[in-house]
This record gives sequence, C-alpha cells and structure tokens, in this order.
Amino acid sequence: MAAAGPRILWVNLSTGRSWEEGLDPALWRLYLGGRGLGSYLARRHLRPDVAPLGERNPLFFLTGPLTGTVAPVGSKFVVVTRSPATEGFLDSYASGALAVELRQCGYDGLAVVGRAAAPSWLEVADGGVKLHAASELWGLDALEADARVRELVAGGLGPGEPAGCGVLAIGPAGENLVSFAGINSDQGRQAGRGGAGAVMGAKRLKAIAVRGTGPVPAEDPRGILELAREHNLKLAESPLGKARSRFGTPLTLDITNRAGMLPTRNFSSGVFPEAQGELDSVGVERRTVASRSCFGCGVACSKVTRFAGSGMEPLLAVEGPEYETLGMLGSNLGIASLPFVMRANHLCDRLGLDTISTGAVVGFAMECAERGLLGGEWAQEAPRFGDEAGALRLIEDIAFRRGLGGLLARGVRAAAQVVGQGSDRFAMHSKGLEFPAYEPRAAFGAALAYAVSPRGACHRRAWPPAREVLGGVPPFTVEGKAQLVKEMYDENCVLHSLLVCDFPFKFIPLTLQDYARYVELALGQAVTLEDFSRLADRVETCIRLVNLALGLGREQDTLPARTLEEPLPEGPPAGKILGREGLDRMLDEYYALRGWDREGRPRPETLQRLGLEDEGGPDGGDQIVGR
Amino acid sequence: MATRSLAVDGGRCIGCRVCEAACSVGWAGEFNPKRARIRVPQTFLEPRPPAFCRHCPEAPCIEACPQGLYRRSPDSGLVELDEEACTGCGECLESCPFHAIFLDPATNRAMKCDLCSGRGGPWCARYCPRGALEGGGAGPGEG
Repeated sequence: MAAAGPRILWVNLSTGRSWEEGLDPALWRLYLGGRGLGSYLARRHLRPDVAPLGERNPLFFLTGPLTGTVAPVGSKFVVVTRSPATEGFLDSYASGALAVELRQCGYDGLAVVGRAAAPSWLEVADGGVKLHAASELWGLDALEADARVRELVAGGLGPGEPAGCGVLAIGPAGENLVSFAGINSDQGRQAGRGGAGAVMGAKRLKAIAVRGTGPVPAEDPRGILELAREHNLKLAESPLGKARSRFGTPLTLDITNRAGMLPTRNFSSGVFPEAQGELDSVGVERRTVASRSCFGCGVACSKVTRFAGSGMEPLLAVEGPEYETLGMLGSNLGIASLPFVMRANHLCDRLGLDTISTGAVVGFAMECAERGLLGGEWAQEAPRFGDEAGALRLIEDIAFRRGLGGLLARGVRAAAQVVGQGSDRFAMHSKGLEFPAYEPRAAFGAALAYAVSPRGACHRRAWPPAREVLGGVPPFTVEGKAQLVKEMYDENCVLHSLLVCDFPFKFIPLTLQDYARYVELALGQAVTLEDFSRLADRVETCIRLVNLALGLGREQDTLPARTLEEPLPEGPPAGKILGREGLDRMLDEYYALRGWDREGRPRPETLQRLGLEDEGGPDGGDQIVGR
Repeated sequence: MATRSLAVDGGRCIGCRVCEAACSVGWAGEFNPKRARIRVPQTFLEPRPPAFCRHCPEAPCIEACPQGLYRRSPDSGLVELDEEACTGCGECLESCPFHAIFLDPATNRAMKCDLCSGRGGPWCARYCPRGALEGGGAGPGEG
C-alpha cells in the first residue's frame, strides 16, 4: 500500500508563494491521476465566478501513477483548467519530459494560480521553485522561448551536466489570449485544445521548466521493466503496431478519405481526392526524415518531416504533420499541398496555436468569403478555399489579433455571432470548441461523441469510427450508439486517468487488465477491473457536475445545423441525415446509461452510488489566491 | 571476449529513453534517468542515439582524473572507474569526447557505463524496445 496520496505543488503567481498539498491516499483508487484527478480538483476549485482568464482560474498540470515508469506509455501530462473557449471543464494533453521531471521532483501535479505582476517564467527543481522575470522571453515565439529557457536552466547547472528538463512555453497567441492558443511542450508537442495557452498568457506566465533528480515513485521497478519488455516484444510482432510505427497518424487519412469522413472545405464534403499521395501516408512518408518517440514508447508514431524550399525559402523541418493537422489545415482549407501543411503546422507551433481549431476557423472564414458574407476590409483580407498565401497570412493575423484574425481569435462560435447571416449553420463546433478532423455525418456515433464531450467537440475521449468504419458496426444509424460511445468513453477515461497514451493500448494491443498489473507494480496496491469501471463512471459524472455548475448542460450538448440537417454530397455518407431527432434520441439513451436525467443532470441515486453526493463544495480559488 | 563497448544501431534508435530507465533500475533500483549511465540527447527534430562510454583505446578520462581513479582493466580491456573514491570534481566529465560520464545526483560521484559487468550484461540492451543496443552478455535474467 502506497503510503502517500498524490502530491500537488501549488504556485501563486500573485504573491510569489508556493506550497505543497498532500492529497488523500484513497484518491489513487478513486481517481488515479490525469483526467480523474483533474475532475476531482476541478470540482473543488472551479465555479461560475472563476473567470477563465481571471487570476483565480487554476491551471493544473497533472500526471498519473504510471508516469515516468516505462509502462506503455506514461510520459503524458494533462492540463486541467476552465476553458476560455467553452467556459467549461478543459482537459488538454501532451507528451513531454515535464511529466517525468515533475514526478522526479516528487510531485504528481503542479497547480498555478494568480497572475504575475510582469511577464515571468517558472522554474521548478528538486528543492525549490523560482519565479524569474521573462522580459527577454515575452514576445518570442514558442520554439524560441523553449530554446532560451533550456539555455538558462543549463547555465545554472554544473559543468558538463546535460540540462535534461521538461519545458513548456506559449507563443504570441497565448500572450494575446487567443481562445485556442495551446501550450507547447518540448518544442513541437502541444496541449493544443481549448485555449490552455491563453490561460497561461493571462497569468503572464511565458514558460515553465521542470527538472528533478529524485526517483520516480514505483514499488517494483524491475517488475514494470519486465512487463513492459513483454509488451514491447508483442508490439514488434503486431501488424497494427508496425503500421502505426511506420506511418504514424497520417495513415488515418487513408481511412477517413475512403470513408467520406475527411473534412473538406469547411466540412462541406468528406472526400478530398487530391489528398491521395500527398496528404496521406504515402505523401508524408516521402518527406519523413526521422521518427520521434515519447519517453518509454516503442511505437514512435511522431514523424519529423523535412522540406527543402525552393529559391529563397528556407529548409523547413517540423515535428508532424499529424493526421489532425493534415485534415484541418489541408483538406478542410481545400489545399492539397504537403509543403503548405508543413509550413502552416510550423507556423502554428511557433505562434502557439492549436492546429485543429486554427484549421476550423480559417475554413469558416474561407466559406464566409466564398458566400460573400464578410464586409469591408474583412472581405478583402479573407482568403478563399485553396489560397495558401492568404491562409498563412490569416493564421499570423489570428495570433496577433489583427483585422479578420482578431475576429477569428475568439473562436468560430463567437466569430459566427458577429458575422451573422446564418453563418452559425456552418460554424463547426460543439460548446465553442471547434471540430477535429472527423466528419460526424460519416459515423453517427462520432456525432454523439462530439456532442457529449465535456470539453467540446473532441475525438480523443471516444473514437467511434474504430467500430463504425473499421469494425463492422453500421455507421448511419443511431441504434446502439449511446452504449458504444459510453463504453469507449469509459475505457479512455481509465487510460487518461492512469495517465497513459491510448495508442500502445490500441496498437499492441493491451487490455485494462494489463494496466491493472502495472498499477499494482507501481503503487503496491491491487486494483481491479471493477475499480476501473467505477472510476470511469465516477469521473465522467464528476466532470458533468463541474460543467453543470459552470452552466453547461443539455442545451450545449449539440452540434451545428450543417451536421444535423445537411446531407453530404459524395462518398459513402452521401445523402445520409442524422437529424435533431437522431441526436436527441442518442442523448436520451446516453444520459440514461450514465444515470443522468433527461436534462443530463446526475440523479441523486447516481451521486450516492458514486460517492459524489457530498464531496466538498467548490472553494472557487478563494482559499488559494489568499495565500 | 565480450564486445569492447556497447554498440548502438542509430537507424533503429527512436530516442525513447527506455535504456536510461533500465540502466537506472539496474544500478540504483529506481526509475531515475538522472542516474543513468546512458543518455539520449534531447535534440528533438534531429534525434540522436544515446551517449555511453566507448572504453576508448586512448581514454582521456584516465589522464583527466586528478586522483587517478580511472584505469584500464588488464583482464577485460575496459576502462574502469573507482566510483567509491570519487570526490565529484567533474574533470572527467569535461574530458570525455562522447559526453558519456555523468555526476550521480544522489552521491555526487562520477559514473559511467561498465557494460553491467558482473550483473549479467547491459540492462539497456535487454529492455530496448527496438533492439538497437548490443554489447557484453545477454542481460539480466538471461546472462
């Protein structure tokens, strides 16, 4: 039995003070870490008067009980906060050394509250927290800021000692509070979704560096090594694993384009024939120069691509593009050029913008321009579908909030409200978070997954196309989809609470029973599949409570009119319509399966069953910011 | 005779750092990459294979140590370090052309790869997910 519960390092930027909080050891079994622990902390600290960009909004960076061990694969952290895009619960994930380093400092999570008086960067090391002035960093792009912080950390170490550390940084988009600014991790990785970078920017926190030299807590390290070896040997033989290792996520584009689910020209089609051989696995592999792995991972799905520009254009190397970026900045803009997508990807990495939401808002602007809905200067600035130079210009304008970019910086929902003229029909978002690169009309379960996702339209908590497109479940019906989506949410909830990447789980493949073994080896405390299943139920309902308290209920569990009412013109989903009734039926069934009422409010008996009925009221950050 | 040092197949290495984790468990019984005697440089866009002691035929560390704690083993030909006597001055770290000598943060002594001599061969090689490392015996549990 592990003696200590999760340990959180709190830093108050307003007062410069920091302190440790040791949480109840029972939380390991009830919430694990990651998403689960985040739901628990969000319920304690988020309430309606905690403004997303206000000083009382806490910014949590959380790990899990397997983080820093070599269990496949625990080098992720999750950012939990109140989202400026949705004003609801946000969990946004990234890989990075920060997760491992935090555990080596003896912490399971870092919580940043308050707002610095002047731009700052935060250094966390074994025995101390230092808040440094960031006047020389403010204004740098996110990649430059990362590199500079590493130099500063290395300068403080002994001779010859490599500055192994985890670094997070925001770019100009975060500084300028763009509602879909992300937080970069170890340069090219991002906790991209939901505007966590804007929350960090509002705190005037440019970067965080963490370096620890202590042991990663684990009861039986040798046991974990052996089990991971067994699983890595299995990975080496797995056809799914080999395909993912070779091609990375771009392989997904081959599948979605065939299934008619590749967002094209702002989701007006799900088929983009021009992508073939250019934006798909074939095209990306041609420009791949290296594979990059996360700590502890044998898959190495991340591909580094390189493009030798012509004439005065510099050589460009970028980590990516990932599938989402290929879809949202490629086909969704009607652009079939991989060098363009690489360039746009690199630009977003530098500016600190989420490539998914960026692709969605630029696609929206392009459609508005095509339809003649923009007036005055906006009409002249707005690119049309396929306009590469115009798209790059607009992306930069978003980060610096110039002209039309300033409008789009607020997200597609807010932009559609200003543009009006019925443009909300094709403002592709749920709860204010823009759609990722899967057309939900091509797999109705995906529509439900987007609608009920607590953080807004999201493909990471459940990906029903795995069954609807690849697994033989009929895609164009609502039958059984609530059950399917709940099962997928619950499974991912366990993985994202552990907190491990779900790729090894899916591509080796592993089972939750395998992870129960890892948890026992790490915590010295047996957990059962029953514990996991109750945890998923508890966490999903806990997050629902947080969102309800923040004003997000059934009315927000919805999708744009284009998704619900318009048929797609081509491909397998041509002519299929989900309809509002279809979505409503799936919602009713989903809520019932969760033990929520028709409005999506957890029933009292559900709260009692899950032990959520009296779990401390939210303190709204009052106790924290006062410290 | 065993291989003279570890060998890495740079084309297979994916920079996952499992070698670091395995090394620290082998030596210190804990997951702690800062105590590993093999390190993957954090270079991001241009991944580079890990650094480890090459047991150089002409080893600068032997000359660099003011206390003379490095020596070449007449039996194995490996460069050996008397870690127990190290005071942590860091001269050897500076001298190593492969950046493959480190200070153990827990003891403040220099440390480097010894191919897990006497512990069944290199742990890093046994646990590497891609089979990118080779050297010495078969590794713990099979050695």
